Amino acid sequence: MRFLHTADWQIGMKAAHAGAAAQRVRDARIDVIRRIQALTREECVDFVLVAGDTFEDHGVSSRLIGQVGDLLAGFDCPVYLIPGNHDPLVAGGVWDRASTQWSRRVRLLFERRPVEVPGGILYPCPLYERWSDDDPTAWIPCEPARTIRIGMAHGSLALPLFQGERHHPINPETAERAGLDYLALGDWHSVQRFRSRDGAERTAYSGTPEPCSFGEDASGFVLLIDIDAPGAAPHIEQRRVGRLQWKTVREEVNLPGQLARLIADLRAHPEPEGTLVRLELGGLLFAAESACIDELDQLLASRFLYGRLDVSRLVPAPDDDAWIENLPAGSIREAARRLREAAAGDATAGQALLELYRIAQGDAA
Amino acid sequence: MIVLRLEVFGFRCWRDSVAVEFHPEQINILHGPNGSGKSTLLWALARALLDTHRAGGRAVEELRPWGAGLAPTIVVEFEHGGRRYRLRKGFLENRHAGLEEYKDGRFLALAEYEKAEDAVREMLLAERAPRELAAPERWGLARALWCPQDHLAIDALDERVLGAVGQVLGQTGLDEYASRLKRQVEEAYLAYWTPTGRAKGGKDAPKWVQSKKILAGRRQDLRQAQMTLEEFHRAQKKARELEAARAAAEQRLDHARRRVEELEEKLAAWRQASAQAKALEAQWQARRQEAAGLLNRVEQLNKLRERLGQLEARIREIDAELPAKQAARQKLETAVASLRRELEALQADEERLASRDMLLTKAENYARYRAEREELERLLGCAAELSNRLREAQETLQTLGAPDDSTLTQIEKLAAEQTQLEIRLEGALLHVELQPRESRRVEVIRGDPPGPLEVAAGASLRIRGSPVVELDLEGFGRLVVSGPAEGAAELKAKLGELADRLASLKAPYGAAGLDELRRRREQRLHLEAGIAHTRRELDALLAGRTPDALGERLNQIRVELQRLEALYPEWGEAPPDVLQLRSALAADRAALQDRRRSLGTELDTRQAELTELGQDCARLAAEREALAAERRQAETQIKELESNGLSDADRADRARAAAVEAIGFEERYRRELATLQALGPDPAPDLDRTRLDRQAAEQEFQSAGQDYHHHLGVLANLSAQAPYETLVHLEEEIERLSAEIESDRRRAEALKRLHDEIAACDALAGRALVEPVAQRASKLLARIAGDHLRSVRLGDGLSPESVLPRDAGTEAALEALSAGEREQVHFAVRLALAELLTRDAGERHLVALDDVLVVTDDGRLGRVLELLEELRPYAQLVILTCHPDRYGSLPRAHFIDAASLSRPR
Repeated sequence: MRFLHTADWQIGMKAAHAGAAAQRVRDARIDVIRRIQALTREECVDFVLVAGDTFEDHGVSSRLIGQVGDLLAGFDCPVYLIPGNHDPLVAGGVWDRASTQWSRRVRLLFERRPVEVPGGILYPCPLYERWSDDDPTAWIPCEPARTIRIGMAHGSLALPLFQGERHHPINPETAERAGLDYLALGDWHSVQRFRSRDGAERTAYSGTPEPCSFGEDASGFVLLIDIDAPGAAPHIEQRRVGRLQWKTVREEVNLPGQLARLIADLRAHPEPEGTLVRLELGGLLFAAESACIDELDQLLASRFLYGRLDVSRLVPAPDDDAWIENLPAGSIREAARRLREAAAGDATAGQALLELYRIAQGDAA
Repeated sequence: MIVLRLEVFGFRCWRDSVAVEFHPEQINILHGPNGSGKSTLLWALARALLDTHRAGGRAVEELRPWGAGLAPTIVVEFEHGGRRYRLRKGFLENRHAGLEEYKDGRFLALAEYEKAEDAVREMLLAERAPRELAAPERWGLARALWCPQDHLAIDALDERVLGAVGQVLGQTGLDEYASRLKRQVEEAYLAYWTPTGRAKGGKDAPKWVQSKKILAGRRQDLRQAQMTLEEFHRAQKKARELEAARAAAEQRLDHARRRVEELEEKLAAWRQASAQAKALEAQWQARRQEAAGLLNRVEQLNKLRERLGQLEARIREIDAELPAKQAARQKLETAVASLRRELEALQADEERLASRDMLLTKAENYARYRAEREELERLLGCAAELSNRLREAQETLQTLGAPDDSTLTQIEKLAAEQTQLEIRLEGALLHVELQPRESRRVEVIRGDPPGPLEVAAGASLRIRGSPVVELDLEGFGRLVVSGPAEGAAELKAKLGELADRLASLKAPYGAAGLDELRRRREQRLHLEAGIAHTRRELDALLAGRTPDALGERLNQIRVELQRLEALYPEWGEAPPDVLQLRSALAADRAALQDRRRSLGTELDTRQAELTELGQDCARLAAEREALAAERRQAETQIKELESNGLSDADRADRARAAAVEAIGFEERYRRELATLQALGPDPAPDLDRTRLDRQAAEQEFQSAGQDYHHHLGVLANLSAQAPYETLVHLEEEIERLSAEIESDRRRAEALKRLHDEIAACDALAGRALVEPVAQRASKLLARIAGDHLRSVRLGDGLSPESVLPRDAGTEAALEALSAGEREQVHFAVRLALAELLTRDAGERHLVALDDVLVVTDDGRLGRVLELLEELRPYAQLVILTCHPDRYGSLPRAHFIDAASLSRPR
């Protein structure tokens, strides 16, 4: 049995943190389905498991639902989906529309009963509500292993790793208890694999195939699973399908020239069109380098899919006063000195000083 | 900048073209009568050099000549910075601006429109007014150097002019670079803020302000989208609830249907078992009843027979006991009747005692009346006596003729006065006493007694008189004795008057003398005391009553007594002994009451005995009756029980047989009953209820289904709106706008901070200029007006605020000065600034003065002219005046007659 395990597509998710690139971030989540499709074709998988949270919310448009259905219908192999906690099976939800719009090739598993899949038996655990304290895998019976038995569920493993708000807690020993060869999980956005007592990795979160925000470092993957026989240890291969990079750069500027080097690094960044950058600068701003700030801003806006520049922790360099002495004597120079003194603890004063610098530089030009 | 030539067309009163040439070196005196257009020319110069050609509005319209539709046009030739320029400016329909520079013998175009105007304003450090005529605050140097009519006093100067002044004074000033930077800062600042420091709004609002409005709209939309999404989620939740309700209703319906089926089956089985059990029970009961009936009959017969014997025995006992009790009762009834009769007899005695009681009451009344009659008669007698006494005393008093104390006192007083007067009169009279040795005849001519008198020898004759006693003595002659004339007459008069008064007072009392009056008075007092005493006695006797009332009461009593004596005539002779009557009556009454008590007690005892005995007899009689009835009944029952024709032995046999059959049927019945009980109670009521439940469940299921499907439609409508996507897009847009706004806002704040810091530094710099300028103005003022005003105090904008007179320890406001001195203070400040900005700055500028110093006296004006002459080499002076003669002493003056220019309309 060879299948692909994915989950948490979160189609339609909001991406306000991506600014103007939000729509592109959402579109990327559609595009990744195509890459998954290509991968399944390429790797000749028997079927695909989508372990919940296909959609971000029931309030997504019918157009989007149809778009996903069309993409799924294009898979060569069966695709099995279960509702997750973001898209539980409820009346009037996405699954009502999907049921009527989608091709029968796409197997929507709404009941907790075994389903025959190529090479074995699948025990799906669809969710019927957003929050629950019940283990959705509790119904899976322990039966003789006459064939490969796999489970598919969505929820939080009851482990210390998954702190915070838990929903649908899943017994970490479900695979062992029920005698499953593999338990495909969804909900956690990063890849996580867990060993059973026999040493085999039989429980795994595939993570989301396309990272959703800054800090999701182990996202952007799908899992290819091979199980040779009932009871055999699954072979799990992690394959990247995500295209977007969410990059956070924190730089402490202490010396002149650092900003220029940073600009050069950013210019050299591969695939900037697929990269979202959050650049946080702290430290000293030398007056001569204030133009670098504008350049960085423009670079982030023009080359990258999304860029956000945070200079709130930059303060004018304390000994960088040469330009101030070049200002006309009188109130302008005096004002510059006063702003300089205040800039260390007053961001507005620092920015005012930069504005004066720009005006003075612009005039000089 | 100095002005060489000014040409004006279509500007207010200058309808036709007029040109004025100004002397660059001499003091220009532009003179003319009122209304000749002098000030208009100065204003034309200002409008040309300081305003934008695009200015519009009513103020610009008013630049046209009255009643003409001409567009004002002005041409100014001037020098600045060693170069010569020509500016052409047109307004309204002819709006244009062109700056030319004179080179190689001709004017070459240098700039047009705003550029031309900006270049000219820069020469004067002036500010642009966007669309209106520039107010003097924007005139830059011209504000300090040009003084339109009635504008001698300077308001606060702007920082550019102050900067120029400061530069001259060697302080931090404003060079072109600084001016440019400041302008750029100002421009950047004004992109976000108004000149007063408020965030710009309206169509000029900066991006972040405009974006805020959009953001507000988006937030509103977001709230709506959130509400829609919440509505969608609520609808989903409700759909779940409705689905669950529908499922539950379906479950209940299924359950109800199954239950109905079960109960129907059960009911059929139960009914069959019930019918079978009933039949067996009936058989069993019948047999049992037959057996029981027979046994019961035998038993009953035995009991009845035994009972019959008991009844007859008891009847016999009663028949023996009852007659004796009845006889005893009869005796008691007789005794009770006797006692009652005796008691009734006592009632007659009581009535007799009651009549004796009435008699006693009457006797008591009779005795009381008699006593009261005697008393009343006594009282009335005494009262009459006292009244008589009183009347006599009053009559005596009336006839006494005694004065009262007051009158008596007056009489005594008058009598005493009279005596005194008589004594005084006696003393005042002349007394002549004759004692002839021989009898003589004396005639008293004047004196008392008058007339002839015979005096025996040796007798004494007294003659009194006043003031003269004149006697004719026989044989002697006349004897005249005179004394003091006054006194006696008066005294006589007084005495006469007194006598009259006394007579008047005594008249009511007759001729009684004083002693008599006194005696009468005493008697009166005695009588009055007696009368009072008698009155008191009478009052005490009557005790508030009147004799008439007592008499009336006496009459009433006499009537009562007569009535009683009519009833009891013997009482008139011998009144009844009330005490005796009372005591006898009391004794008889007591005896009667004792007897009554005794009889009553005995009667009660007998009565109780009689009642008890009567109850016993009644009870025995009733018991006998009941026993007799029971005996009859028992006999009847025995007859009935024996009527079936069987003997007792036959009956017993028949009963045993029936009992055996009953046992058999009972066993079968019990078995059948157990089967029935195993089926439970009659399921028919349950079935009816369950059918109703089923019906209700059907309705509920249908209703739940309808609600559910209806709500699915609502949910479908909501989901078709894609509420989540709408929300997502709005959130993203809001995030983007917020970031933009924040970035722009920070920049706005930074520019404001920069602008404000520079302004604060300018203010500090401005304050540093005040003292040097004030000192210079003070010196000029001293040269004009003398040093009694000593020094001028300027505000931060270099406008004069007060002076410090030499002879005063405190400052004096300008309003405290005379109009002339006030005028001179303002002029001194203007002149000080003009000196700084021209002579000290090394730059010749036009200094224009329109009708200043109108109230300055000729002496001080002369000193002003000296100062102007001193300034002349360093500045171009143009003075507008109606009095050219005042400036006639200027050595180098160029007079321009406004009237000789083209005729103003």
